[in-house]
Amino acid sequence: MLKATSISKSFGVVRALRGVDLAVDAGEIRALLGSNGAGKSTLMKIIAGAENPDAGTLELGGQPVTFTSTAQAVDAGIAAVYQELSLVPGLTVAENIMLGRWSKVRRTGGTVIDSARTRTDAAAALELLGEDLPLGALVGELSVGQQQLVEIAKALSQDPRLLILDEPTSALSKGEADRLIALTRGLGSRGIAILYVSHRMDEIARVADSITVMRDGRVVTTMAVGSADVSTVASLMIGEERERAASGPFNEPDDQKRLEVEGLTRQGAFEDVDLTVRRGEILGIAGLLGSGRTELLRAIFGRDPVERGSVTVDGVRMGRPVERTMIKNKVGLTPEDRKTQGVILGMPIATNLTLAAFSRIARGGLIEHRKDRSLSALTSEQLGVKAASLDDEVITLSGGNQQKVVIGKWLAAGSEILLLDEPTRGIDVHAKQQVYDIIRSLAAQGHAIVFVSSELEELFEVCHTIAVMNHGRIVHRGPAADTDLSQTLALAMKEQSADDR
Amino acid sequence: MTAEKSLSPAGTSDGDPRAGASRRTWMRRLRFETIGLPVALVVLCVFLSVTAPNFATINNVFNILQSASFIGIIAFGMTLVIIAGDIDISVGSAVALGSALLGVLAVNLGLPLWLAVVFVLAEATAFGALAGFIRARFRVPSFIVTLALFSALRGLALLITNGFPIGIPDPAFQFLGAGRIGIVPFPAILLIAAFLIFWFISRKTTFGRTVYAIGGNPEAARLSGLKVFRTRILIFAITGLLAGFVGVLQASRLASGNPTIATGLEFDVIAAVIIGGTSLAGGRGTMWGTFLGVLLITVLRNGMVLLGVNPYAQQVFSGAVVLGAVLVSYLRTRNTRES
Repeated sequence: MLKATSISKSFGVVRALRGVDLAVDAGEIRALLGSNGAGKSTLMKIIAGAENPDAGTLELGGQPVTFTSTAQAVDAGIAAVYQELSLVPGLTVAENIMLGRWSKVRRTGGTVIDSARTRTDAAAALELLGEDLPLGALVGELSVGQQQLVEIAKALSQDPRLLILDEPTSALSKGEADRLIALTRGLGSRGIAILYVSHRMDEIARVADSITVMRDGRVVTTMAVGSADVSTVASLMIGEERERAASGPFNEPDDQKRLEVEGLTRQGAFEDVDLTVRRGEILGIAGLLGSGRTELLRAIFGRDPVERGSVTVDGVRMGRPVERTMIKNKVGLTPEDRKTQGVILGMPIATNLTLAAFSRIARGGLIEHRKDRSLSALTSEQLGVKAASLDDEVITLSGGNQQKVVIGKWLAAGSEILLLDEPTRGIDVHAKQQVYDIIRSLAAQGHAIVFVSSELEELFEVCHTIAVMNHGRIVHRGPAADTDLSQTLALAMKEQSADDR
Repeated sequence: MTAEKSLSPAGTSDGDPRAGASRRTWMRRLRFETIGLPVALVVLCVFLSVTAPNFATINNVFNILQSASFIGIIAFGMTLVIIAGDIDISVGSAVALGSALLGVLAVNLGLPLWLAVVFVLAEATAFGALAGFIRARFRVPSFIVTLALFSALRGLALLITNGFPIGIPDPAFQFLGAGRIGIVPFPAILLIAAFLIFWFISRKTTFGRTVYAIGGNPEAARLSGLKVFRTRILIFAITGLLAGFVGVLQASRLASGNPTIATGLEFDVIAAVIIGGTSLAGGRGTMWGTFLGVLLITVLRNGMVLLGVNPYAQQVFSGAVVLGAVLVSYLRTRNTRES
């Protein structure tokens, strides 16, 4: 059905794909696995026509094909559903399914959309899916799970021979995920080839026929789903040479508890989370996309509500955490999305650095210029922010330097308990090393750090303790030195059964 | 950038182009607010001095300053609102209500004038705060909230006066809006004072910095522990207060509480802020730019009157100027984003 041969693709100096071969038969459901940066996304984009390969060929049904746009790929019978849904909330289910391909009729005065015909077309797509959704409902009023179904129906309405599903269940509840799995099987039995990206092993075992594991831009292996267990797949994803972490942290933590989280719960996001971070400790939280890591950090910081449980900072129990109280108690959060939540791109670097430090640079609401300047200068020097001038806007900085500004904001504010959500996302290798060093030396100075990352290797490189989050629960917690990298990944990927905890 | 500052060889190589880009950003801002606008203003003044009779007379200059004060005092508050990413289109109606209420309180109800002024200022601040509260609490776009007030406040002003002006016969009170110190109109002094106060607020206070942060990125501001909610209410309350104050000034100048004044004032105020380079997208803007914008729009209006331009054509021209200013503002923001 689909045959990709020696596909290679580089972005600048980064070699994303190095000669990938992949063949999927009609009606076959192939799970695609790999760590961040293994090349899955690039491969899918090339198949879906969103990127052009540097080398290699694609064949579809025995015919060689080249796509210069996603529209061409769709015409050839390849449809993709990505994690970020591309639906219009203000249009109906039917209009979304047929988006841009509405049937039109000519009336006096101009051409209008034939809504009856659009509904029939959409209904046919839903029929294929075997799902019953209200065609006239606005998509914005549906649950995320239902929206996902609309997106799949939209893909199916294009009559694909190959369907790409990118982590389709990461935002879904258990029930919704089960339905989606059943439905995917149904599509497979109709002869549609499916590429299914996911890391939830239990799910993969139920949905897929075969598994392809990628690592460092190559296909490591392809096997039948029955012959793969979680730990085998995990060690294939990680690779033997990286099994043991390199340097580790600089110091050993004290016994003094700085942050204690007990029984923290918000249904559907995280449940019964217990965590302790000691003085000088770096706690790494591993987990898949949608495992509740970001939600947990935001709730600890007081940005999002909690239903049960407590947060204790330096022995003081925070009633209901609120950002400003947390900041006063020396807690800081660097958010997952740096650009939209961490920095103010259009503001000078200096102003960004002292944004959370008003109590240090101002008295009675008046900013003391010299204190302001010296604090921002000191902080940027401490972190090695590379900029021509601190008066430049943050938007002129590279990603790594922007991240330093976000971390610097908390250092300037005097925060000693740092919640870092994916602090190395989207920054280059060199900047990553700098961020690791910053984190390690902050811990050595007695700060307590929670480090959330999707990249297990870096957690093992930096952290004292590793906690694994899976479906909103902490399923494992132990010293990094005693924890095995692939075992940790397996824990994160494993589906939780009811008796499992 | 010095070599010892950079920790890594990789960093030194990419340092230079960024420095260049940032210098260009700087130059662009420098050009517009400290060179472009003053030049435009000077060119306009020179042109009018030559073409318009009586433009370059002391009397006319002070006329301009007086008119500028009624726009400008509110425009400084509006600058904060727009920097924070919001808008307030109710200021004209708020001025009218302030003026009308002053007449009702001082004349119809016979309150002492100073007490009536205090009441008016309190009323105007309260309506502003209400708009800010609704904006912050229910996340209703400020355009909609103040559109409602735009209609409601004007209605209130007409309601309490039956649509007629109420004469305030008090010569001492007239000093506020029409008096002079030496040859300088008193409102012009108020304008300068307002400029200095708001320049200070925007540059030297945590409140001012919070306003910029909210406009630049509200989520980041909140995650930095800034008082987003309170600040949003405050900026609207301040703008309301200023509108009420201008209502009092106008009542003084016209010697009457008048519910029909200041129609379309919101246009001049917002236009001045935008011409002054404040970004409608929020996060950027200066009081200095607004000050120049206020002068520019007042000189323009004054000049068109002196030149005898058809009053209807004046409106068309004013609209064209604002459109041009918005385009310039948009292009600048886009260029900055790209660099």
